[in-house]
Amino acid sequence: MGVGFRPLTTLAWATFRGSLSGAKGIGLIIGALLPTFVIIGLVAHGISGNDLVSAYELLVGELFLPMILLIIALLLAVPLFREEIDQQSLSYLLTRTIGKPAIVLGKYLGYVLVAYAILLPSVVVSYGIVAIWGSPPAGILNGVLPALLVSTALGILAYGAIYLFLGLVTRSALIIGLIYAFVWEYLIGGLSGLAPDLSIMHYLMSLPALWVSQGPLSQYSTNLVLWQVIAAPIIFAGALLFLTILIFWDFGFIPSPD
Amino acid sequence: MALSSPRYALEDETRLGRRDRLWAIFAINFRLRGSRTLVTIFAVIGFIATFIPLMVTVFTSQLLGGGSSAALSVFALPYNGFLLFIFIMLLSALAGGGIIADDLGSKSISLYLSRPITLGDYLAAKGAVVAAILGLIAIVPGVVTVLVAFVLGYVNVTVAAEAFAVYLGVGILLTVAFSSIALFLSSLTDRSAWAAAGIFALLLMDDIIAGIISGVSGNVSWLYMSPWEDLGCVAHYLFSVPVTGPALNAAVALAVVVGLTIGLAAATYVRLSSMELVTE
Amino acid sequence: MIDPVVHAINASKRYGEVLGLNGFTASFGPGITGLVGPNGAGKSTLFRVVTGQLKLDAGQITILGKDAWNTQSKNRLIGFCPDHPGMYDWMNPVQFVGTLLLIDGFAPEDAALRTRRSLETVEMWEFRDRVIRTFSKGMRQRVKVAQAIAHEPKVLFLDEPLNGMDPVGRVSLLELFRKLASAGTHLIVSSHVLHEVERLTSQIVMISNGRALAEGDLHKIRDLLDQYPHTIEIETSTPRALAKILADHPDVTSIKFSAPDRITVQTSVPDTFYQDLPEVALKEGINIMGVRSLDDSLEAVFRFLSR
Repeated sequence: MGVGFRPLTTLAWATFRGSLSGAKGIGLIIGALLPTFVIIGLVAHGISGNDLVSAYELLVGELFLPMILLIIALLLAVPLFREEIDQQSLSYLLTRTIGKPAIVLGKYLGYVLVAYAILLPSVVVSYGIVAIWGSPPAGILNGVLPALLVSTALGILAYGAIYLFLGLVTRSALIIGLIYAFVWEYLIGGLSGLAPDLSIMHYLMSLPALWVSQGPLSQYSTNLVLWQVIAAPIIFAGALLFLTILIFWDFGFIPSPD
Repeated sequence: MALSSPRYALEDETRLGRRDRLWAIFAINFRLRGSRTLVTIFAVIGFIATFIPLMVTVFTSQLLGGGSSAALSVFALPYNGFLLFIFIMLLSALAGGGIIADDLGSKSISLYLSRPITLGDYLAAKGAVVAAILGLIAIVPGVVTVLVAFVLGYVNVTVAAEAFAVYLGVGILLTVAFSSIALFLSSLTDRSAWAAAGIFALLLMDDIIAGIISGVSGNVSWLYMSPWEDLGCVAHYLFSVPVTGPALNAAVALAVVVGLTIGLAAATYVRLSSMELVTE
Repeated sequence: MIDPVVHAINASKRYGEVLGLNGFTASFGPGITGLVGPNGAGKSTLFRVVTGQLKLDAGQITILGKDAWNTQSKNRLIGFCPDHPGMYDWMNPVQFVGTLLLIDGFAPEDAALRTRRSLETVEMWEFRDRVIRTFSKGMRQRVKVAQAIAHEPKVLFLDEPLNGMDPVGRVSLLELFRKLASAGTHLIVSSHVLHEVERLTSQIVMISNGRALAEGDLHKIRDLLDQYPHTIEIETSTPRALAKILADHPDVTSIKFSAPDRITVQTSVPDTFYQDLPEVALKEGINIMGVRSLDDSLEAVFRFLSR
């Protein structure tokens, strides 16, 4: 695996920087801050108190977690392999001494770092605006910030793993990822019974429901307990990473016709 | 010794006119985009998902009405929920994502524009491709339902004619509007997959944000910022759906959609006309 | 007998309907070896297999005695300059070469030194602060070569290394390749520019339809191609007189007047012909200004073998 962790950390850092380069990075940061902009707009219009908190939790529950998190994870994780395969720059990594598992883990680590850097501050900033300038009733925001931070962090891990996998195995990874995000996650998550347990978003939405006592986030219906909510996305991410490593181990980098 | 050059004369060229050139761009791109597996799948599913519930509703309505014609408002069903919207978004993304982006990425746009084709014609033909694909679920299920319902006697000729006209009119407006959005977003990047993701995400987020702000502020005017809500408002007005509670003004909604369509089309034209394609 | 640098035995690789390699068997010796073949012959496939990017369906390929597939340790010994233009465009050359060296496990100080050295070698150090996205094809090619040589590999695989290079750049890269070879690096160079492969080496491996057509010294291969007589052009002030004399020569199969002062002779025994020609010219008083072989070249061999 090369000398110590240097190859892996170097690849992670290169992935981090590459993901944020150019207009793409700016676009992703702006996208992550959309709820913040809306909150600022609402505060500027004099919306405050319970109304603002409701708006904030709706934005988080209907926009940030089920949409922005998924889209940003998709746009960051799919190109990790897909772009390198399409541009054929994967040759450079495959002809180095870095092992294939380390390539997968290095790219994933870089993705996690950049996704955390983009999304977690957005959660904190929008929460901060509501808490400081929104005049929320006392206690109404208890547990909201840690719940959202943990949900976001878990979502980044789980969705990144599946999109990384898709980017490796199919050319249509972005489209399939979109369909997975907005057809599977929505449809399955909307069913009753045990079906929602097949949706990652169900776990992410269940966490605030278990930690928060008031507001739209607390009204999400779930039969899960805390350890399940935290463990499931992590296990899912781990399993998919393992599968990605297995497939990449035997991966053949087909040349374009010469 | 005298020199003389041979006399050359151009042979009469039988070049086809502008309409044929536009048709050529449209036909090739429609075949290319429309034949993609995912586009076909979602067009078929979208058609079925719109046609069947609508047909059942029309049948039930005329049954509950004692066998008389189903009301015009019944035909507004596709515009009542989000199902049609989701398919419109998906097809806009799948068919429209690469409509300009692919040409930018492969630099083949310079091949198009080095022919006697204006940028406006190029954009019109490309937009027509997306509109035609969207029309498969925005227009076709509705008009087919009306025709079938009329043949089966579920609606009288007046309602059928009105419903047919509204589906055609609103459907054309919908397809043109969403094509304009797709064209603009596709022109912003040379990666079709990114454009597709952007089209889908922005359309959906726009609607969600509009709904949230409108709900929280109690001001329905925020819904004007969602093209789907605007089109829904126009459709409901034309289908004579009874209004309960605060609602958007159909004329304003129509103006917003038309303005957005024209504005984005102009923005696409301006952007592409000022762009320089640089290779090495 | 010297161990081959790369040794392939019955190597086959298929992807879908395309047969990239079809029982390819050949050895690449030390020094510079040219890998030549028409488009679609399997050159890039072979390079991908040898550098461990593709797994064979059958057969075996070893490089310096190690199996090519999933042996990451062998990557320390090889350098690969791919034919495609894809790179990490958002990086500048220092970041690009340096990052790959760090990924290879070199310490940061060592990586920085090697980066500078390799970029100076390919004359790209002055552009070190510009991002690769802004580079021309030739500049990208130089950076690709830089990353391939930065870690001082034992074997260098160069897939179309002269693509996009201007004439001056080609000359300087060819000079670099010769220097590397004389310093002990083994090079395997694939190129469509046959006369430039010829300038580099006479050791070639010829590939077509995924199979090895020939390997070894170019001239020896040519000599073995008996069914194609050698064509020799002779420049003389008395072409008719020379032609009359050569018509009686037992090894001459045909004579043609290609220009007022030239004749073109075909012979299947060129060595004997070359020996006899001076004697004939002296004896008959024929003035010969020049003798040139028209098809003892890589291009001719390539043409003959790929028919």
